[in-house]
Amino acid sequence: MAGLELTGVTVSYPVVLNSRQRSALANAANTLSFGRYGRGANVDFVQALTDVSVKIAQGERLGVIGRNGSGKSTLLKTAAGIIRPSRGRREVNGKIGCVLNLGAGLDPDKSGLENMRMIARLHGLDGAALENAVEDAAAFTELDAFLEMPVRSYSSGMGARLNFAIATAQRSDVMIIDEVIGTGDAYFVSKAVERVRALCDEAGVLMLATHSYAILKDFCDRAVWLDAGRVMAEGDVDEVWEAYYAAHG
Amino acid sequence: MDELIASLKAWRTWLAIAMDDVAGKYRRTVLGPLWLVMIQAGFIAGLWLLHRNIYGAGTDNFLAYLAVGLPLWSLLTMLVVDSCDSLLKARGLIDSYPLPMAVHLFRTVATSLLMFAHSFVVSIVVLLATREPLSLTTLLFLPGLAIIIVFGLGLALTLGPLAARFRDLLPAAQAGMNLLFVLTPVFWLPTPELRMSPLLQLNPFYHMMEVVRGPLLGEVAPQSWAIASAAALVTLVIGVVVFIRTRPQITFWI
Repeated sequence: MAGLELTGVTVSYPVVLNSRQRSALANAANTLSFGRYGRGANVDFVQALTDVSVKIAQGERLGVIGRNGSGKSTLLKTAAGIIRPSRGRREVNGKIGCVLNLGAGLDPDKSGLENMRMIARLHGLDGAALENAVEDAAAFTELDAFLEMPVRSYSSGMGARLNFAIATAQRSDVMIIDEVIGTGDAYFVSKAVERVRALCDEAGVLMLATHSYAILKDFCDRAVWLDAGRVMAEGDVDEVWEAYYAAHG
Repeated sequence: MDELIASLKAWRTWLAIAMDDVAGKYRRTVLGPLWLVMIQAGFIAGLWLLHRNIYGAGTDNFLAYLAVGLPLWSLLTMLVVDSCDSLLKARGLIDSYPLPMAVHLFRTVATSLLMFAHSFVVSIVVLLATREPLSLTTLLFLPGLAIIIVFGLGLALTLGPLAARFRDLLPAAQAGMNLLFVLTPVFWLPTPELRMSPLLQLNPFYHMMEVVRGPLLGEVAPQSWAIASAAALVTLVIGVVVFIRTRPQITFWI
């Protein structure tokens, strides 16, 4: 049974403002002189998430909404295990799959196929699963002969298709998806929506961040609204969206 | 510790990225990997000719000494300097894929070893061409290399996280390795007295060189084996401790 649970999660980011804070010499001087020298070497922290608890059981689809900077991406990365919380607990059952930053790891000098193979590997695929994912993504892109050409020869729309196709070619028990739909022409967007739907249908658990009510309503059966790193509301999609909309219009 | 084991198990991933890193160095060149071999061969030939002109031919097989020593030093330099850069270079991947963190460190060690494998071709060619006597002792270079790999893993686990936190470690490591290149017998032959001096005995890089170069040139210095093994193990233990303690913060530092 797939499942994802975050309990009382707090994430603090160090905020580095100057090079002295990143200097081993300045930090050593500061420590050894009990703060007399190397002033300004200490780093301040901001809380990106404060005491957030989220539980997604098998079959549930949770949408995460909130304004820019509200902590959505931090929550997704914490759920994925990329960020370790300063406090709180994370429990995961099942294999995790992420669609976060499209295009990370892309090498413009390599061909589309070579890039897709590498990105599939970064998603944890290998052997037959990798080959199947690449084949599936290649068909989705409709790039045909371009797939053998270096990615730097692609238009931005073609690059977006390639990135989206390979990122969504994985199948995992727990899928964590950041806002990824909405690039490309209308034909591609409708194809992309169907592809994400298939991906979500096959996953046991879904966590999806979005700014769009249509996507939230379409893909999720529950929602959580984050503001300044805190959970403002959680529950039925319509109720949470209304509360969010009432607060931020 | 679980993450370290998970990272080791993901060997296909870090090996694939490492191979891609190496291939990226000569992608779209006609000569391909030959470039890496030629760069090393050119450096060795240049230093050897310089030495011959200054000191004459001599009796030692100085060409073999250089042909083994220089690629080995390049490996040690890469293990130190590239370790400092390993997590910063992987920022985009760390931020986007739920890979176990040490994958990015093992990738750096693997890349260094693959680069070394290219330049080691020059060492083998020179050893065969200069008819350096080969015996069972020669094969001791393999456990010697294993010691360097353990040392490299320790360096990556230590320097990767620390250099992500403290950005002056990378230039400090580059400066340090430049200094050590001169102070370690890589392109010069130490006298027997100098071999026993603290300058070399306290230099772990000298012993790392000796456990591979020694067997290939028909010499085995037991003291170097003991010191190199101890240094590698201590570095690995420090690396594991540093990695485990710093792991929660790494994502924020890069």
